[in-house]
Amino acid sequence: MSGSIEAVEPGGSILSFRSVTKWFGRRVAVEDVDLDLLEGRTLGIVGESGSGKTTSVRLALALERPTSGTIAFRGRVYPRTRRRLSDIRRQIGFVFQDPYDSLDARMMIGDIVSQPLRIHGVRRADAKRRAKQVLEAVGLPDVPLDNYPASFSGGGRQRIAIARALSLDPEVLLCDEPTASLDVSVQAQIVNLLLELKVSRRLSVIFVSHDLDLIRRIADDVMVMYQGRVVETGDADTVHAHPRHPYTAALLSAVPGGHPRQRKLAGQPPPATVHEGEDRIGCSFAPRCPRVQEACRSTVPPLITNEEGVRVACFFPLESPEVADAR
Amino acid sequence: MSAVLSIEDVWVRYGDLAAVRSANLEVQPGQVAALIGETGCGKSSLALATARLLPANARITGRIAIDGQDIVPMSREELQTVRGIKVGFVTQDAMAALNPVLPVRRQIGEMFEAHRGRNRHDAEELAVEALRSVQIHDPEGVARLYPHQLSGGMRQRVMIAMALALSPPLIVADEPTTALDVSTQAEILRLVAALRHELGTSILWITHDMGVVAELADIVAVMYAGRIVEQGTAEQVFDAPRHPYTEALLRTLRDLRGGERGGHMYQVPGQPPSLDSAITGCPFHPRCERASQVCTDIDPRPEVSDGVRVACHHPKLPVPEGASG
Amino acid sequence: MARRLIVRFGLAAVAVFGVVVLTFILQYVIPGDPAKLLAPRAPSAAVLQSIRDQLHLDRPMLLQFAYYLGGLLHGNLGQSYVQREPVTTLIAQRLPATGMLALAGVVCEMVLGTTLGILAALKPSVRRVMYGVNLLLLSTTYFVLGLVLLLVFGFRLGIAPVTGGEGLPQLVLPAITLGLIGLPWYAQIVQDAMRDALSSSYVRTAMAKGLSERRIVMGHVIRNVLSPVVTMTGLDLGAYLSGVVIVETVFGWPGMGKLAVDSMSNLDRPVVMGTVLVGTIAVVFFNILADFVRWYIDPRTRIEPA
Repeated sequence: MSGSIEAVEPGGSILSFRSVTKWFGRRVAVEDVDLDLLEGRTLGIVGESGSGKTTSVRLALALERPTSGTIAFRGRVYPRTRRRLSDIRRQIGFVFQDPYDSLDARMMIGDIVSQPLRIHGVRRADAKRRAKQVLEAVGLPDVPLDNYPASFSGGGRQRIAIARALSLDPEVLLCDEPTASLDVSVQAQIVNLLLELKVSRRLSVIFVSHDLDLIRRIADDVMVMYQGRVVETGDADTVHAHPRHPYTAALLSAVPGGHPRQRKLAGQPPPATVHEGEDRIGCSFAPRCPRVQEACRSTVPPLITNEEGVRVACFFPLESPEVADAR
Repeated sequence: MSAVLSIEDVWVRYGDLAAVRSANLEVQPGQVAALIGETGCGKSSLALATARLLPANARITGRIAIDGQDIVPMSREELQTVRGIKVGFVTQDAMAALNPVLPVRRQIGEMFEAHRGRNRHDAEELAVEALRSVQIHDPEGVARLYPHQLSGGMRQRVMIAMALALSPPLIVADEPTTALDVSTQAEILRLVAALRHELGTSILWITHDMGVVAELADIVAVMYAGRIVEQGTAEQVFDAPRHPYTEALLRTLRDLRGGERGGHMYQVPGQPPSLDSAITGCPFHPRCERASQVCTDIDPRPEVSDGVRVACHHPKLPVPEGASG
Repeated sequence: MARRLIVRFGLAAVAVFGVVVLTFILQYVIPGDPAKLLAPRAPSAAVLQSIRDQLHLDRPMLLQFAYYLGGLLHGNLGQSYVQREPVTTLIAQRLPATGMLALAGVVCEMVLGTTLGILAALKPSVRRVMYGVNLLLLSTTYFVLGLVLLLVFGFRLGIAPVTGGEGLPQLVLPAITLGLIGLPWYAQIVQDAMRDALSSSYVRTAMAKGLSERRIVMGHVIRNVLSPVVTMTGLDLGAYLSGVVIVETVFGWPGMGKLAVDSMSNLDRPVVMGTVLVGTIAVVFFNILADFVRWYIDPRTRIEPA
């Protein structure tokens, strides 16, 4: 198994996975994943349901423990005890997809935002002052702390969720599809807010989405996942411009275009049927892959760095634009 | 040619709240009409109104004619001769929209029992055929399953098969792909495109994402604050939007997809107005770049030119041919 | 499915065994000398001792329990101290009457409650009536309601028998008493489930298919409402089978409840333990049966969680 990792400059990687695998019963949710979130950068994780992207987020938040492999924050491997974990947890803020589900409807805004502070032992008055500050930072300057989530729209709720995530002034912000359930105009507002906050608060961000176009817009690096494995990872612009893994290409072709009349549907989207990973021996995309050959069915392709610096797990990747042009 | 769906001056009110304000829309045979708008703009109320499926506290006024028959004044019994037969309905959350305790063949089959007088056995065989027609690989097998045993995409196919079972001339689809993965979404769109060519069914497709239906839509209607603010062919609306709201939405979408990495994204300032308050002037004027005094004072009436219907005091008219660069 | 069944029955066996142990201990620590109950008037010490020997009453508790268990496994629940008959015989005599009453009572409450609940969900006017009826019935008891029914229909109107017995005419009033006291629970649960179902997305789909109201209610709503009703019915059947003490006493119905009460006041240990055991088995059995029926009604419960 070629799980080897290129060395990252010391201090460069703030959050890292090394050969992380997570089983739930007989199903493997995440398999042999290496991940590096570099300081001050945004890493986009792209995948559809069942790709393992949500499990990866839960692993990073220490809500799940890996079956094997290690996860480290600034080089410190996640401890096994709950109490020790709290040091790491306060460094990682998180925002979930559904702003209706993720805020307790019976809690006041001030309590929602200051709750992480209280849990980490900040005094009530200080916590309240801090809550006011972060709410201002997310564009809700004059909101009364005794309001309830019900009086906010989807966009407003997501701002509150972001404020809560930032209340402990974390170094890392984890966002699991934070805009997926929002209207386009509200999506733009939230994305702008995240872009601003990343700079003003010197955040390193993991942004999970099923939308590779959106990831390219906001992320520096991208990691494409399929059925628990990383199939392609590298610079977001490069991967977006020349996808090498057939799955990445299919995913891109399925996303509706920027201009509504842009014919994005021309490509072949991957079939939607999900195959359970029972005794997976070959490439997990092989059953759906238009480029599949014999080797794909017997061996799992390793991630190999190509001439563009992108790592691709495919025996028969799409050609680089130069090669294609030369023909 | 008579319209399959004709919506004339339709209002939907919940008590004091007017969710739909004087909507007008026509869908011709074989046409796909996209009704586009954001949360709370009234698009779902209008969609539900087209099959009279609104909750009991809603009041509809105006005329909604399906195949020439106005359904607004109809009694429950009369509606049973329209629903399923003249108009099929597909909703967003197929998991909730299918009955959890009945197998698929029962849920489709009962339409043939109720409307075609078939016995249960024949009806369930017809249900299998209906599943086959939406390109389900093992229709006999799927027919025996219960909704929770199906994948999201499969459930949506079942919903579509059900809506199409009696070959109605009109399908109303309320965000049918929103809850699905991108690739499943693409599959469903392909399926609908194929079926539409094959069957010539008209479709009213409600969505918040213009990108999704652009491929399919013949005509596009954009809703804002209960109003249809712009309506025309897909080319007209997407390529030369006249209403500032349509323009803003398109610009946001373009920026979201194609803008510079890490750069500030174009966004429409502010929030849509709440529909329970009286709106003076144009509902979009507080957020509009083109707003002038007349916009704050007078609600613009929809005007038609070159087949585009726009409700705006300052529409951006297309540059005459030859003058463009 | 098979694995779930085995687990279910295994748990049931554990529950029954637990009850056997508990009742045995309870009976053991209760003061009183059974030998004196069994012996003729003014018995000699020798006679008492011989009775104790015969019943192993002098042995250590664990050994007594072993004897009792051994008997149970052979279907022998022991001998009544008072009536001098095998407990199994006594219970077998009472079980049909209790079974009849339990069944009649459950059918009564289920039919009345479900009907009222369904109508209440469909018609606001009925809903107001239901709230009134529920309030009234919830604030009364078996004893009061039983006596009132007996007074009105038995003594005043004379259309129901006032003397005890186990014929069909004698069954009517106790069954109605059981049914009326149980009614509010069914009515409320059914009404809630109905209203949930009626406002559900799948009912809207059914409407969109152009189905008649009748077809929607019968084909889509009722099935979804049945699940909680089945659970309650299972619990009630089990509970009633172990004897509805007050109702049986008020109406002089010769069921298990009366047997249990009589033997308790007579310190007739084997009979008390026997009735408790049969009651436990009934509760456990009907619970499992209710689960089965639910598995049949609701396919979601059939699938093992992934």
